[in-house]
Amino acid sequence: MAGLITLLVFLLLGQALRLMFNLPMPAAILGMVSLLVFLLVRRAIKPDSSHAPESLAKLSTALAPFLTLFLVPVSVGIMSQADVIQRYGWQLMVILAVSLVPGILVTAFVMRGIKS
Amino acid sequence: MALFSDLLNYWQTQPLFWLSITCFAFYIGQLVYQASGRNAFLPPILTAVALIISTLYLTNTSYETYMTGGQYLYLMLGPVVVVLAVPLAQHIHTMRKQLFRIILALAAGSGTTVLVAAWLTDVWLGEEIIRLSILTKSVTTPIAISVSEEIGGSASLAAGFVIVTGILAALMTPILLRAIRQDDPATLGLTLGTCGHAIGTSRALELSNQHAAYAATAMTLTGSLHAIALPLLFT
Repeated sequence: MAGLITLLVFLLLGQALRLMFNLPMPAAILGMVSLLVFLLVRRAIKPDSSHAPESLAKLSTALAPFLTLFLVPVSVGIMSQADVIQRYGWQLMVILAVSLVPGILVTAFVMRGIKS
Repeated sequence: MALFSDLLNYWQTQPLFWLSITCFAFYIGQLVYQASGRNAFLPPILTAVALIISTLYLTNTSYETYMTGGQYLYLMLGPVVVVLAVPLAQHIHTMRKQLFRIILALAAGSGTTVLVAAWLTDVWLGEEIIRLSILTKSVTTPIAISVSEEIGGSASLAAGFVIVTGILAALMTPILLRAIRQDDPATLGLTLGTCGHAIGTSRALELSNQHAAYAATAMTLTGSLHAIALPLLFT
């Protein structure tokens, strides 16, 4: 239960940040970044503590398998874009495939090329 | 006694019915994925979406009616995005010595693929709404949807581009990196997460836990970076 409360507090905090500072980012992202900062600060203060409170870690593990399920409804909305798919379907496939090649190569070369 | 067709007509007006159909379709999607030996072309979400769209066509149901039930699952995306911070905090801690080059690599790589895609769309198709929706293609879907709405793209198109990109990246990344001999676990995992977000990450999970940790970190960091940068650049 404490995990759920923490989650809701950071979701609401994300909405509050968005509204109060007029930020263009989604509220859930602002909530996620706030929670990340909280967890990192918590660990910096108490270096021997685990990465997250137990109830929150449990909730995170429990929710993770459902992530793709929650994406289904909005993906079904692609049916309302049938005309775009009919007109540009194969061009879009080519664009998506071709644009991946430089992305993959740049990621790998930067990761390998820079010594930490 | 009411007829079965009456029951069907009644169900179609009930949010719970469409919510259940979504869960059934997703479960069938998972079974198909497992039965196919985890074929990268058949992620559960693809089967689920195809089944639901077919059902809606056959029963002559509008997307709006479907969403009376679907919206409850959609609402759950916010909480799922927030808890992504938990594994990320863990991974940032274990990878803190490499964090600088990880962030540099994923920023450069994801920036390149998105700009190339947007540029190609611009010169070839020239449709503003498609260009705005393709900008979020390398971001995990829950983030892509909300960012796409933010910058004026179509959430449904964005979701479609993200899924197709994920499938392609999961297929292309291991082949391409093996060909140029850069397929150590850290580089391959990171590239899968950067270019293929959640679908790439589940591919990494099949390789090893080390692949998966880098992929999950890359996915979440790329998502956060784009969620912050795209609205600033395009609104």
